[in-house]
Amino acid sequence: MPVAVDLNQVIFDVLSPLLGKFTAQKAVEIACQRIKKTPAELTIADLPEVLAGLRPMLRTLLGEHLAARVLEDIERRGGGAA
Amino acid sequence: MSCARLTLGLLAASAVAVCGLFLGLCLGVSEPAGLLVARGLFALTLAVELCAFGLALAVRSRYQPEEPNRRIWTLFAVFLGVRLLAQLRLATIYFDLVPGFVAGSEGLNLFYISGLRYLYTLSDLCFTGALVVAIRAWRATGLPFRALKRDYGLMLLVSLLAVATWALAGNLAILSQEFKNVAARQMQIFRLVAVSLGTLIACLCLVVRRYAVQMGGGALAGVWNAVVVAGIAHAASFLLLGALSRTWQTGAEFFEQLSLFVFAGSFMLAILRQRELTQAGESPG
Repeated sequence: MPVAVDLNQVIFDVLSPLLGKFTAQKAVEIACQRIKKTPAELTIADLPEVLAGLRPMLRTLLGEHLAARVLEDIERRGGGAA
Repeated sequence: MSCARLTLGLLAASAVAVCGLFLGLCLGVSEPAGLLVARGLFALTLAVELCAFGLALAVRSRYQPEEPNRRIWTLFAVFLGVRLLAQLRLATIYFDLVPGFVAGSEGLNLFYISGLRYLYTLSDLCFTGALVVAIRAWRATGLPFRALKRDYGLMLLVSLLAVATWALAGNLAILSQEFKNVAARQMQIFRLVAVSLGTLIACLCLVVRRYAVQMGGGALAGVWNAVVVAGIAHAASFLLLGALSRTWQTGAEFFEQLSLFVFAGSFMLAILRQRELTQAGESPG
């Protein structure tokens, strides 16, 4: 039976050690605004769009390599467990 | 223990030890002995800056040309490289190593002493540029980074301190006459330019500090907090020199040098933290 994943929490857990808790929270909110949802409404189906929304921001703040690593991590933890 | 933490511990211990040695010598032996410690601290700072320059180049090379971080770290690397040249020039003056053909020509000597001093100005412009690029890049992400009213108040306070240093500029010129007795007036003008740029850097650092606070912790804030400490220490060096030079010239030179050591150490720490971040992005799985 698939395990429900709180995607909002997954993204926060991955981003906060790097970007800080406030930036992580805001980054999720901004990515959610693009798909017209709140962080609490995120589902695994939204993962590709959320990742696409986070990419430019992470690329600017962390650089290409680390941004790619972070997005992979979110994808693995979020999508992999579903 | 991470490389950055180890470096921080070593640099802090060095600063405390050198302070103790300086005060001990000045109080117990003589002022010239204290000056010797100040020059030793200068040499130590130079070594830290050399390492920081090499590491900054390595960090820069990890980013693609189109990335904002590449521009930021290119400017930081140029800042450190040009500053290193300026510091090496100063080392030749401090340790009587000025090339004979320069010392023998009045015009060349004046250029070497007064003109090449503006390498510091050039390097400070690169530091300023890096901070501006970083601030603009962060704001372009759409994240709600903004300076607060109290930050503008602090900027005003820093600017007032710079004006106070401006008022003490006569003392700075006297101090310059002591070590080489050449072109004291040019030295005075240079110091004023340096204080103005240093103040601008300190103000930009206050903005960066606010953004780092607004991040709410994290590795990236750790990098930029270290840059902020470096920028503030850099500006403080001029203020300390201006404030102390009238009453205690050896102390003025020492505490200016101590500020610059803190600057170099903090910058080194920022680079090491940034390197750890980039390595996290490159290490396998």
